Amino acid sequence: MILGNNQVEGLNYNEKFAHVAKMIIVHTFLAIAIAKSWELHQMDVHNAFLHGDLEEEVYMKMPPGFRSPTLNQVCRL
Amino acid sequence: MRQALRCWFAKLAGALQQYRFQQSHSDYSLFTLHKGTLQLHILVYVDDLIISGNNSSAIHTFKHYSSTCFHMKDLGSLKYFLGIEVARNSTGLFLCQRKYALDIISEVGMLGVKLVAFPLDQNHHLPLVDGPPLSDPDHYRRLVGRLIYLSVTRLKLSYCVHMLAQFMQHPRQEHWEAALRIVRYLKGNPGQGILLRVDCDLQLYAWCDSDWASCPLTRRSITGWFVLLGNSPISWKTRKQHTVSRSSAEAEYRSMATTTCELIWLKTLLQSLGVAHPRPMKLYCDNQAALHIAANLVFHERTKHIEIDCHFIRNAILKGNITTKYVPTHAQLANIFTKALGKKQFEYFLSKLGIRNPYAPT
Repeated sequence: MILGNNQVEGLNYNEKFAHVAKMIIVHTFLAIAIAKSWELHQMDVHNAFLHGDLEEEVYMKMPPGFRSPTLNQVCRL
Repeated sequence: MRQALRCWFAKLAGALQQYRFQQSHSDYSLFTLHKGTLQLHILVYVDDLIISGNNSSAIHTFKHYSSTCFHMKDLGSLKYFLGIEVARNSTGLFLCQRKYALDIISEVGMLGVKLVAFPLDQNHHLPLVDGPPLSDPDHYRRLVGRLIYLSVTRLKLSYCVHMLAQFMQHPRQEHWEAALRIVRYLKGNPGQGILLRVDCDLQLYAWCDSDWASCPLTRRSITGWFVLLGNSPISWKTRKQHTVSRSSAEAEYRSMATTTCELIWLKTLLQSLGVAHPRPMKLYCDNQAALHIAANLVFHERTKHIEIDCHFIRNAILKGNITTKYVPTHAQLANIFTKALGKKQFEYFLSKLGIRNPYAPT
């Protein structure tokens, strides 16, 4: 999350959005798997937020300590 | 950036759909693949995935596929997920949040205090207290927030956190003390959790209850429900009703309607997980008057104003979606979600609700 607090709804982002399973579903999912004696596995994604593709152009200020040759440059994400 | 996780989910969903997974309509974080006899299910929690299915090699093939799409780490069989500890044995799957509970206890510095047998005083007057407001309400908000998450495996906390969460805006000294009492209660059995059992008939059984006009400020009632899948607890809730009820039967009736909604949703969820539920779902209620209103197609003078709920439950009964049954109050499992109970009642419900404590000294 880069300076997410400066974004204004409707102005510079579509929607904050993370897919979160409800706990009731977690219970139901596990209860069914155990009742049917199925295997249960788990996987985890490294840096999930780096995987998506941006639909709009987003620019970022240079991180502190990062020197650019000219002062008025920014990063394009 | 805020849109980063949305982008990530779109990409993940795309990859899963390419593998012929279907996104469930009951919950968009659930993906299922049914092909012939093969069944694969995936549950997504932002960047954590739980995978389950009836074919071991298909699970491994899928894991390999997803590793080629993303930079993923295979954590093997499910042991620890979102702070929930998962242990499997011959009786079933045991879920607890022991580490999380111990973290809460040590954070408020309660490791050395005396224990209490039940979390909330039976005759509490929390909505009416007028003690000094807390100088640091954030402390209270954080603690209650953590207790709310703890009620994922500690269903007895459901009513207590429902009470405490009402004072997040302006917490007072007494509220803070009530929250600390819950922590002292936790200290007695931090490893308590729920057992999802192997011997499960995959049918839904629900209990609904209400506490009429229990909120002294608004005179609104409380709905509590509890749902078992076979013998495994899967859904429970304490919630204040939206409107004032004019009688206890009416309050009970509204809680029946809310519980019916939950049951109908759970049934579609089961369907997307490949579990058929041809028999009507059982709904237990301890109020005869409410059961009569549900069963008889008669409009009473006193139920004119709850017409919509009446039609809703009657339709569900007529369609064969649910059947209602009377249960005496002492065997009413949803009781624990509508009021603070004493030690004796508490212990009675423990075994009934599928709560276990493998860490208890025997």
